[in-house]
Amino acid sequence: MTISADEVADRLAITDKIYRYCRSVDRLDVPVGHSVFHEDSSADFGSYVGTGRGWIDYICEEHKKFLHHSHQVSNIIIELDGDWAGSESYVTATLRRQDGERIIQHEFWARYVDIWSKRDGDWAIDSRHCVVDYGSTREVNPLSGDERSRRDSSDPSYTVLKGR
Amino acid sequence: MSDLQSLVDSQAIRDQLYRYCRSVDRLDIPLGHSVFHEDSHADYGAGVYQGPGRGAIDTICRQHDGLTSHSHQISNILIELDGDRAGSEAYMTGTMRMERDGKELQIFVRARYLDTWEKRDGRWGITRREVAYDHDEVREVTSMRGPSHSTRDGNDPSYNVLKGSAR
Repeated sequence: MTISADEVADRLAITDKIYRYCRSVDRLDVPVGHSVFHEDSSADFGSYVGTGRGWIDYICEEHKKFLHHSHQVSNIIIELDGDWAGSESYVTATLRRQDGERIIQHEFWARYVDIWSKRDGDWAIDSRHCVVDYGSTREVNPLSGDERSRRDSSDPSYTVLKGR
Repeated sequence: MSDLQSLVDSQAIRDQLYRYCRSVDRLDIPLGHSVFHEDSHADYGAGVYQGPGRGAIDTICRQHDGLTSHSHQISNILIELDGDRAGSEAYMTGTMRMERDGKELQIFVRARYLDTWEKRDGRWGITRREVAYDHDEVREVTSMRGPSHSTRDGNDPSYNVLKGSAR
């Protein structure tokens, strides 16, 4: 199997967008999220079926009901076909919410199943289907409170990532 | 970012992020020092560590010695290159096991390493690290005890396949 530098670059560009999606929904950064989806894209998250960019608007609003959350992507498989691509990426998401005195953690093991196209040199999603494998909800006992993680541009990550 | 040099540079930075984890999981101080430039600064929060980057490795490896086992797993890595400088965000899930009062406890941390990098003499190293903690937890767990070859020194089987470390 031979792989060209252009193919490596395409794969990295798609991987970068998959991570930027997570950054968007974790920091509630709507413009970053919109840049991951083409304007005419679609998204199917079960509870939401509609446009890709509409999903970003919806989920960034829904996430405000939680205290904080972390979407971590591990396995990424990408199949390239010229300016088209398909990908599957595994995600483990943990979300915390306050319930009276208790802290409740929701945890999901899911896969993002995406179709991509490169338009004017920019890879973005045409369609995303989020397939949930399983989930759990339980009360947790937090260790400490560190106040530096924020869900807006005052988060310290914006001092090291300036691109978007 | 389609030129070959940027692919090579971003891969070198990813490699260093993984080597950081390998360092603190195997308590490999020389390897950890190689991830930070000598004049670097690390801020893990006032209650954990603030000081020179290489000092963070010394402190964390010493603290980890009081635990029974731990695993630092990095997932999402975003890198922005600017010549011989770069910024990165890397998501991390850390699980740490310890024995206290006859109980086995597991600490679970979800955090992000926010790093500034420089390439000096061809080597990428961290000049500044800040850690943002998203959430954490401590709870009692029941171990599935079985044969394990994992050790926190040069006897770990990984040293048979990765020879690059300073050990």
